[in-house]
Amino acid sequence: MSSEHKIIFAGPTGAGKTTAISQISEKPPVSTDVANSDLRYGKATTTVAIDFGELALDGGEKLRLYGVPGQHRFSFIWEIAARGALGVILIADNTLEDPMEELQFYLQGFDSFVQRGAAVVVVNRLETHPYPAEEDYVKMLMDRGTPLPVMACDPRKKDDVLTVLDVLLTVC
Amino acid sequence: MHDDSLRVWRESPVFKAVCRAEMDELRASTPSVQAAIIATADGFDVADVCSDKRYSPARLSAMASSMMALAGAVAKEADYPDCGSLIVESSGGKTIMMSLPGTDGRLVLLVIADNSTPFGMLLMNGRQCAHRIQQRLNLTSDSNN
Repeated sequence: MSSEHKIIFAGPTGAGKTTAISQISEKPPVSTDVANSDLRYGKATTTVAIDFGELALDGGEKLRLYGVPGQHRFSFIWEIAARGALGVILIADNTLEDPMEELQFYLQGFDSFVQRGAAVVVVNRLETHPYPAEEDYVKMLMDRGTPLPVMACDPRKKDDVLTVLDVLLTVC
Repeated sequence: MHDDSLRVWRESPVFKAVCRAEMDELRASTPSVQAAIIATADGFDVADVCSDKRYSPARLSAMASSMMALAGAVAKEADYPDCGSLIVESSGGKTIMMSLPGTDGRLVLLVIADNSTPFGMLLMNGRQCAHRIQQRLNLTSDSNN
């Protein structure tokens, strides 16, 4: 196994990808956030290319952390960023009207990882929006024939994000 | 919370018309230009003039915003204050992306050209087009907020 791994963070706009990477990166992440003019999203800035962070693990392995934009118009960059990646963390935003339906787009976009089980589904904001529950995501993934680990996670909490990474590295 | 100036520019018929007129002028003065697009920094097309339908303004605008953001990140890493322009050189032609003056990088001019015009002239004409748009629309950093 290589001592350096590339990990992708993907999911809808505002799901917490940039936050997750900034929590665990040992250096200030490379940011490509710009002013947001899209009224559909209640945020001042948005990522338009990649976030990039780095993390060294206790065993000497290094992780390169890539966050990709959530908007569909930037899906061209997913394939570029995903080349050579070990696995993908798909972050669902439970505040969305239909978060599981929204997640389908990202499951399809990273299908090669999903099909070989090199992905983890993370559910954000479960504490304020408990439905769909983790079990619902598990069932949905089973029904589509792509069972994956599903975890609740607050991307603002470093320990939460590190736990997700640990699970991803275990299944990859 | 949102960037209202960007939204106004995206939706203003006058703004779009001026951009198109100046990009038409660019094409007239520089026959190698195949397409010119004004895009927002967050990846939306504002105005375009394209020679044929193989160019997708929506797709190219998203790519231009990503490229300029990445180039800005490289500039920052090199301790430069900003990224004014970005050039893609290919055997098939050249693509230039540049920040529109007076917009604090919130608008990008993208120009796609074949290799029939000397590069220096293409770059100069593109910059002149960007400055004409700035002057006609009275774009200043103060007008962004």
